[in-house]
Amino acid sequence: MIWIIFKRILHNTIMGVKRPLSKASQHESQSKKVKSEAKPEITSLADLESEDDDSEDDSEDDSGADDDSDEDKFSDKEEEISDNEHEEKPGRVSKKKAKLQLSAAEIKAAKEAAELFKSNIFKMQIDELLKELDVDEKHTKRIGKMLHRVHSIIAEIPKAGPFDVSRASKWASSQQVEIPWNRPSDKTQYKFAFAKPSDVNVVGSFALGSVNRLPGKERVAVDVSVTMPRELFQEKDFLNNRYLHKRAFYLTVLAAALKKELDCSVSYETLDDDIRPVVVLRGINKSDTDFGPKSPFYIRILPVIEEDVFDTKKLAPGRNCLRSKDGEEPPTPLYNSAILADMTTTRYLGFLKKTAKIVPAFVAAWRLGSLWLRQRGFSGAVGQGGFGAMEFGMLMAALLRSKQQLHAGYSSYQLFKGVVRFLAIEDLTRQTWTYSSALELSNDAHFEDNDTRLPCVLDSDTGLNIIAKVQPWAYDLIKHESRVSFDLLSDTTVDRFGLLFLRYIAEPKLYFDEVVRVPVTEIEGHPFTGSKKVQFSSFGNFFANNVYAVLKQGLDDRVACVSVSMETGQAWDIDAKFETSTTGEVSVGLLFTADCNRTVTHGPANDDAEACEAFRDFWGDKAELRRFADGSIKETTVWNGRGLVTSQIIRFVLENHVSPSCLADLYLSSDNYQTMITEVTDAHSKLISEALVNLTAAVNRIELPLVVKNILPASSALRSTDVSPALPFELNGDFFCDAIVQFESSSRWPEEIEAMEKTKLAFLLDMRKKLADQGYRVIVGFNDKQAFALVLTPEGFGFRLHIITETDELLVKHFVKDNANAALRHLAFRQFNDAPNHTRLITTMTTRYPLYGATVRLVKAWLDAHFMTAAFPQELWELIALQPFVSSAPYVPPQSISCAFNRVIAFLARWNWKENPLLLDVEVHPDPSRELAVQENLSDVTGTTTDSAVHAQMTAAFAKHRHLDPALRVPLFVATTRTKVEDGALWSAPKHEGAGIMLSGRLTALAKAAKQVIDTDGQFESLFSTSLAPYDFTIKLRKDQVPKKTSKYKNLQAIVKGTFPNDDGVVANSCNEARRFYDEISNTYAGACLFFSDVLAMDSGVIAGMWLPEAKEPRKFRVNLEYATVPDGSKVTLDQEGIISEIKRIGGDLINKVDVK
Amino acid sequence: MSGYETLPLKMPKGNTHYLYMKKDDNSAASEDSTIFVCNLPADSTLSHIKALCQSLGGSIVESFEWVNVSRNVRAESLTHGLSGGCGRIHMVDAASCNRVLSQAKKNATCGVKWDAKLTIGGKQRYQLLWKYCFPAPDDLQAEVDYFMEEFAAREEEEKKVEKTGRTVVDADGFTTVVKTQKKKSLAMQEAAKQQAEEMKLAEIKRREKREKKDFYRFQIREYKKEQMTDMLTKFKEDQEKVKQYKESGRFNPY
Repeated sequence: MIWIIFKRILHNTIMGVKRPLSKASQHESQSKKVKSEAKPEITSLADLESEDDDSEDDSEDDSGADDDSDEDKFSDKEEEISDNEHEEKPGRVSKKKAKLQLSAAEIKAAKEAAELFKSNIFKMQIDELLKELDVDEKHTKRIGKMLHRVHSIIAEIPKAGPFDVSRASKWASSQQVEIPWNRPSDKTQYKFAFAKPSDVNVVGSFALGSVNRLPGKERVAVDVSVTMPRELFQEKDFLNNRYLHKRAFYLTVLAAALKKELDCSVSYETLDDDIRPVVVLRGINKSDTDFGPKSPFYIRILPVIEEDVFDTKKLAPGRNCLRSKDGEEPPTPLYNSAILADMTTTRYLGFLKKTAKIVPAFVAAWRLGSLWLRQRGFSGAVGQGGFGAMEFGMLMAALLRSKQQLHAGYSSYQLFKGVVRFLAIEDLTRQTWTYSSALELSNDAHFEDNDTRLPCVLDSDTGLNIIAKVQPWAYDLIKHESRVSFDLLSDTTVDRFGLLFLRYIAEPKLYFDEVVRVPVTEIEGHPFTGSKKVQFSSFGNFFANNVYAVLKQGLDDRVACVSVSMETGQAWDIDAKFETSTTGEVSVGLLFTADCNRTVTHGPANDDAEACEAFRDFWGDKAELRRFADGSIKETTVWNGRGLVTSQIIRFVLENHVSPSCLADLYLSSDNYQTMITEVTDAHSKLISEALVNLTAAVNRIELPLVVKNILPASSALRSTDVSPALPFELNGDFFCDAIVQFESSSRWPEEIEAMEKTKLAFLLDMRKKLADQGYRVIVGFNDKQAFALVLTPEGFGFRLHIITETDELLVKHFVKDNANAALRHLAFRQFNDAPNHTRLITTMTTRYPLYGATVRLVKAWLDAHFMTAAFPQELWELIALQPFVSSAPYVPPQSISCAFNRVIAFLARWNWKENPLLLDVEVHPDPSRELAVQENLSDVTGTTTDSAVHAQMTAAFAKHRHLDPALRVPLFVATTRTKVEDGALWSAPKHEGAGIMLSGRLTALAKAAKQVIDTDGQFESLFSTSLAPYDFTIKLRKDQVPKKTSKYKNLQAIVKGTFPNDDGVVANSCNEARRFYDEISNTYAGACLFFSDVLAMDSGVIAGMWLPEAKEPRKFRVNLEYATVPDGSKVTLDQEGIISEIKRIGGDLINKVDVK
Repeated sequence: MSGYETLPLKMPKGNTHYLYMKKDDNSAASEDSTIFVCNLPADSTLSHIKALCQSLGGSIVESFEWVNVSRNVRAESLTHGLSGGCGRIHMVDAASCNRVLSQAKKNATCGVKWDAKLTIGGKQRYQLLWKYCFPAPDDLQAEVDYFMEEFAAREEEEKKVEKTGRTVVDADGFTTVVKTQKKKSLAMQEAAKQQAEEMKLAEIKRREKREKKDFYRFQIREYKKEQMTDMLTKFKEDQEKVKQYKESGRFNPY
């Protein structure tokens, strides 16, 4: 008895705990019911007919909702959150206790969301995104009415035929339509006919409710299947296009009838570019409210057959169903699966519907998948890879047939991630995923061997490979993209939602390292006939596949992915003949591997005769036999090291294996960049760095009162990022590279600024005497504030040495306090102090990413061309150029300079610096204590393994920075994991204090303009030419006063012999007057205007000026106005004329003329 | 322009520049012989000022300096100021100072000529400025040696004062006792500060360590509660964020 009571109590408490939850879920399911009632589901035309009959609809919906509430637990719980939120809002004090309980429920829900979804915020974003993607309900209703109309028209079409070929054609022309076929010969025995369809059904994504809204004028496809009656076909009709021809005639009859009855555009299209034509209806009549030109839908009419019309076994991927005349009988997987697809359309509708019913989050995950694919440029059309929304949904359904892959209770996020993971990890060309599409859902899907070498996901019931359309190149790319996305999904630190779903990332010039466009031509020696016609759906497809094959073979391991997409979806009028197009172009995208530009390709070894034969066959004259250092003798090809090897190979392969004629109109995106990339190489910087190492050694050999610990590089020339680094013995304004002398620590440095500088001077003078024996010449300088020394090395380079001691920092801190420029001096000192650290970081990066140095140089050249380099410290550009390398998501790090440059531009164009900092994770190894999934990245994508604590620190530093600088005087914030977290603004302070927003804004505007040029294939040179229009005045320097820089970089080794002039000569030759002039006027007129110039190259000979808007306002006079004025009544105004003539006087003989707007 | 005399300067190119001058009211100025000038042409040097004052009643200038521009001893004649900057003209006596100002008043409408030709501009100036940074090594050495000697002497002196200060006997025969405290160097000050901070942190840490966190039931309860509220606030923040995103149209993927 007691036992029973106890049990009851126990039971009650459990119920008690559960109560609020179940209540909420009840409430939820009710609200859901309301929703589902409000949104009628159009699943088939039969449903449509009974639309008026409310009671029937209701009962069906009810049962559906009941079903849901059982399995819907997951989503129910999550949605509770928002419900409770509403209840809580009134916030009555008396119900404090109730509130506590509620928040407990909330926490539970929040916890669950965190488990089922990546995080709460991820789930909320998914919800919002799907809401955003919903098609407007009113349009759904309207298209329903339209489908109704289509249905009744099709039902009324009278019988036609049977005809033979010529009569069929005649009949068609009498109806003013063409049959979309390659006309079979007139001797053809079988007949063509039309009879009332056995079924008309809405199928595809629309029927399953998994469509997403599309942007702009793009329309969502609504597929209507028209089941052709079985009596029209014979058992052997699957052979030799017979089925397709009969289908074409049937379609023609449908087209003719629809054209007659409907006031909308009726045209043919091939279904996803394969071999099946379909009829497409598009609204054009404005007065048609259901299906007008603004309808977001278009209708596709797909003739299909029942699934037992042909023997499915004979249509397996490995079978040949097109007997060609040349006797060859290769498998015809594309043809086979096209017929199979027609046979299984209805079956799959039921299969997917059932799956969607059992798996509550199925549709949501499907929609996420569709969007994900779309943002990556994939679609079901063969020309664009053949992997689209439909394939994604079917694959997901197939994976749900095994508990090892996906569970019915998964959230949309988990389902999506599961499919992505499957695509990323499994190789479907080696093993086939086999499942059953029977309506009694089973759990026995598994892998089987795959010997077709084509990606295969096989329905064991129908023999249909659901990814038969997927092109080999597209499969590689999908795998690649899945790996990247999986890594993004595994990133626990940064919110990657935007990159996964919200941004269109398939811009070829950002995505690929090289973009090639090949005009479609005849392929020499490979006509599109016979067996080729059997294997490929169209000439374009044949051409693209050929290009893919030869590029893949030619580039071999230099390339990771080859994408060969084509323009698709061409519709043609129903009264026009069906023709395969032989024009257009194939857009090739290449993802290179790290070592893609090595000059020698190693072929097969000499003793493998067969392979050698093939190698020679492919490479022709290029192939040569070579003996290597390790004694092996191999077939090789050797390429020219100047210029990109990849470009040479691409050209060679296309010329020899596609057609010489396509070379004329060939487009390679890297060609232009190659002309811009100067001959400066990283090796050059190494030479200078070596000279510095030698100098350090020499300094260590001499005896000084204090031991020199190190001489640290602090100049861009010493970290491979200088646009025009010094040449041996070629003195010019930029000849001397900054380096910082560090002594061993000592407490004896004087703690007084002047004494400190004098002490340093004494050290440098001492060095001067003692280094002379070692072949170094030292010229000690003292510019009234600081002591420094110019050192000329025997290698022909020069360094400007500064001494930094630990006492310096204290001095700056304690004595530069009251000065008006204290903050600036502090910053200058910190930058000075940090330059060696920065150099170390950048040097590490240049070794880790071999293309990084060249990218920075190109970016700097671009900025310099637009007079922007001097607006911010050089170091900022170097950090920004790191972005594509260390924070590469959603791409993998670039393997070509052109791609890296484009990505820097795209980043700058997109960077919302007001709200977002640039956080650069420059570490490679993730913390071993972190999740396994994070440690083992599937792809090369970088920046996804940032430690969350570090990231939080950097984000907090940014928030603090914004808090301290609400006026955005330093708008850009760039932090790395190497620097101290608070140093995000160290290198991003604008040179002109106060013009931060303006300069950053200009940077963004320039990047946007450049992005535009890149996107539209504009004149490449225009990227590097700037307009003087925005400036108020321009100072033209005299050409002979602008230092000319020799560009003899090519043969660095040959010019190492030389001498320096005497000390006076060295000083005179290293003055750089033009730069000094620029610096001086920038400083003198800082209160009045901004100056812009290409300070790095200095070859435009122009300094442009822009008056500061705030200086142009009349003001009351005060002593510390920072510009020259003219009295104007009681106020004063900017003395523009006076300033210009002052500049002329100061510039003196440097100036040719000044143009004022 | 209250308090200032406005003196138009006729520039060679035909434009007019305006000087604002007044007697320097800086109390530090020993005599009333200093003129405070505002809105000087940026390329003004002593020679320009001399020429100007010469034209204003033949007054004689003793020296001229820019305000807020550090003096470069080696290149004084090439030092320019900032646009619209101010300077001090030290006249030889109060009389010439007054004369300049009264002359300026007289010329307030017709203006005086400014000899812009005195400006050394262009390449030559930059070359000279750069060259001046490199005095002969022997000169530099001498300068350093001299400074070092002086500096050493000064330090010695300071030490002496410190020492003797302790033993000064005042008029009443008392000896002032000064705490024997050496002047702390900056480095030491800094180190002391840092040490104090570290100690503080260590103390906090130690105290935290001593406390048992999950000993009492209320502690566990409180900890759990804290976690809950943390989670809830995070949740609310997320919601807020998503709302913001939504408003900014972020969820439109196209």
